[in-house]
Amino acid sequence: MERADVQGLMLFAYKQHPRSRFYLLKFSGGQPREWLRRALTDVTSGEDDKGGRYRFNVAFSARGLSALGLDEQDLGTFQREFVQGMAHPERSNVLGDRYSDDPEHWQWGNETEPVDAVALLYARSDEELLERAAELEKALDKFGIARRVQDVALPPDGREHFGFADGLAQPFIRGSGRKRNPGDAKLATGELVLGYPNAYGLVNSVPSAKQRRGTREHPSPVPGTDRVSFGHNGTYLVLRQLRQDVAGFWRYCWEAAVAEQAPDPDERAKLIAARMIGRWPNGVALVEAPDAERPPVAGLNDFGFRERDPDGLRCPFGAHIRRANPRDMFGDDAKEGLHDANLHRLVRRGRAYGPKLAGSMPRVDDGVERGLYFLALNANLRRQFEFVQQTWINSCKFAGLSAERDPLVGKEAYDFDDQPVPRLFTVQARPVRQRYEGVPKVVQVRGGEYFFLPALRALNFLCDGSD
Amino acid sequence: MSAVRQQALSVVAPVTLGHEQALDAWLRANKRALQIALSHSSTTHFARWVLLPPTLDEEGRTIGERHLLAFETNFDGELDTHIADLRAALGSLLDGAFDGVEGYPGGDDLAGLSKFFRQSSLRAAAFFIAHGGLSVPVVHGDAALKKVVEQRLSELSSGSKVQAEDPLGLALELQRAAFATATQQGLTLGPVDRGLNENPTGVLARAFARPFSVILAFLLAPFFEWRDERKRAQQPSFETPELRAQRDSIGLEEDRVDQNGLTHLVALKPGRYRPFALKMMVYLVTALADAGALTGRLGGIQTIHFARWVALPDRRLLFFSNYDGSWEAYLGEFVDKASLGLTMIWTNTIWYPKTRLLLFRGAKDEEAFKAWTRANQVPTQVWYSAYPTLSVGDVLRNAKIRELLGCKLDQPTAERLLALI
Repeated sequence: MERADVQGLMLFAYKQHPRSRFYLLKFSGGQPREWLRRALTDVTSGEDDKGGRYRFNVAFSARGLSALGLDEQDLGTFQREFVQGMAHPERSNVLGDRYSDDPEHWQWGNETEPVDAVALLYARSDEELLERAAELEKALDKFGIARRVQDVALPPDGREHFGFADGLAQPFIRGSGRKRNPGDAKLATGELVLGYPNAYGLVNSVPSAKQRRGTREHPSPVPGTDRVSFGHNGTYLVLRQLRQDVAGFWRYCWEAAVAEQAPDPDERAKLIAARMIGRWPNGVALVEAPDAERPPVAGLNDFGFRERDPDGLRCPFGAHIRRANPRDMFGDDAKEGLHDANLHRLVRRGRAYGPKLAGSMPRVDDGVERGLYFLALNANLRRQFEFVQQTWINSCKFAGLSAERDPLVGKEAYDFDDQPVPRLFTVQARPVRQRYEGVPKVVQVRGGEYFFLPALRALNFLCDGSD
Repeated sequence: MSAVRQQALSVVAPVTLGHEQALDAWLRANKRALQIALSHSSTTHFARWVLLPPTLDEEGRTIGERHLLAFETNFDGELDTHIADLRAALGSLLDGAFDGVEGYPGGDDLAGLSKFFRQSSLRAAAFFIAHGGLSVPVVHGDAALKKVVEQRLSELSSGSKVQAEDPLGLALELQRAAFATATQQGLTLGPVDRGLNENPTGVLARAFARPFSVILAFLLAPFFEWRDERKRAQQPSFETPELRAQRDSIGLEEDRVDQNGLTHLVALKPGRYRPFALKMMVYLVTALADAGALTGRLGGIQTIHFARWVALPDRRLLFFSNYDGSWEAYLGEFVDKASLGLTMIWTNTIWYPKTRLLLFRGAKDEEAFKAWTRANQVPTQVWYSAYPTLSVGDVLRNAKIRELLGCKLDQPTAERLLALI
């Protein structure tokens, strides 16, 4: 992998830079190319892994690339999903963004609030973030670029708003030079970075663009054509703003525990919540500890489902972590299962927004919006991100289940007569399974878009050329 | 009760020139009405109306002067009974749904209709059924029983109390509820004869009954693959505005329910070798599919209800499939689990990803294979499923539940029953 050419976000989660600000940019009326020329020197590459007060990366939607001079033929070389954009009705069908999650209700990323680019600024502290943000915003003002600003952070305790350790299952990318934690799936470079062999040993089609004149170093030419390999060392970036109803989630779990006449409703509520997620708040998988939370003994990502829990009696089949990554559970044997599941992995770089709701397992809301800026990187939107969303998260036939979706992030569904489909969650048990009904929809899509995260040479390319 | 056999009906007939747009518009406008009407048919598992436009061959010449209307069903029992059942269910809609189709005699004339359907129907080249022997009423009955059992279980379990009950007692309780409903609604309990007594080895042995021709097809493959690739013109771009628009319209119709229908149409490669190779490969694949039907899996895939290839007389190959879940998952399974079977057949058609010895590479070229499939898909005007919320897994599991509900329960069978619910 050419670490000097890829943007740093490909390789790093920037844990040393937990405070951050995401800028959703709108180019119309401004001078995006001038701004980009100015910002170019600040962009963090895959080599800048030590020191430094800031990290900075930038990615573009299809609209944004078009504003920077890519024509229809150029855009035709990108994945169709990217060109359509996340709010396209066909994508909504695939992603399950219907009804209350419909793009028409979004705050951004839809027709009324389109986004051309996302600029991601990371800093070590709030003070440093504000200082750098002021400079960045001055430049945006200077070049007339409108923006929507969202502060996001890596929570100090590593727990997302519901209170669970998050971001534990990350694949290891071959050639990344990063450390591999026990249990991390090994993925071919081409699953993350365009221009390298993927899981099938083939190279995904790499977006290309007509050659331009310029003094900067551009991506290499495509042999025998007048085009450059624009997408080489780049990847697709998925961004979704997901609001979390923390109080609603815990209220449901607590009420379910009370309805079960549990002697200790708090403990029972925690168990019900853990079953929906598949992990305990401290990150220990239910496969390891099915009955009570206990301190982690081994790596938190170092487990499989098939041998320990073939019938879902420890971790329910419908639990979020099974749906997001079924590991070795499908297929004729563990090896095949793992291989198949790993065709659909994502590198996640999400961060939380909004203040934490105070208290442990809080059941009363404070009216403040909070949630997750879900950010994922993958080389094939259709086979990776959309597949996970459609075939695992939102499939009511996942793992032999018949009528339920992900209890946490599953879509809203209506039947043929336009009646809402009941939201269920099944806990496999002996002699017979237990079923939770009326599971609330606690995660709401507030905005989203597909972006392209170009390599540094491709950013150079975008800076060159006439306006 | 003797086994009910599932068959496929593939009526393909030309549409009078100039009539295709009106028929297309009528079918789209009456889609829901046709689906509702078909739900009154007791013999139809899946059905679709699809207009097959003229397409291009490898040299860019148009195949077919007129649009063809393909009307296809997967049905129970005998064809004549099915046709009468369709006519009764569709009523006056039938005339609209075949308006402008050459040779269509009108819905009033049952004998004429039957003759028209028979004369314009094409034999399936290869046909796969996941849940053979389960008729539409049985599938529906099984689903109804499952629902009754679930409701009863829900009544019995307030909180976790059910856990404490003994499995046999609980299962008997559920069985009583099922009995009551079965008696009331006349539903079958216990096993039904699915007519699946053939052993897989016997089926496979049949595949080798014509070894010489099959081996010949493989022996000739390297030469013709070399020749076809040399002659192969520059592949047309799949990224034209027309193809993009077509893909958009297909995409918008997909994933409305838990199942999807796929219609795919592509021309054979030129020359006389390809029809022969296709015939031999169909022969092999049929044997494999028959073996798969015994387990409900096609080449390792358990998400296909019914699928088949139909060779059109104009050297085009039509593919119909009714599958569970998303297109991407379905195609992914093709690539990961069933690439051999698909490649054997589709390698004989144009622009298919490069193949070696009729078997190798081909569908393994994931991105190219998916792009090729998508580019040759045809928008389906009307698609119908008798049980759109049931997966293959659901149908087979519900059948097992019905079998167990019909037997005298003891501890082990009670536990098995409860584990299935």
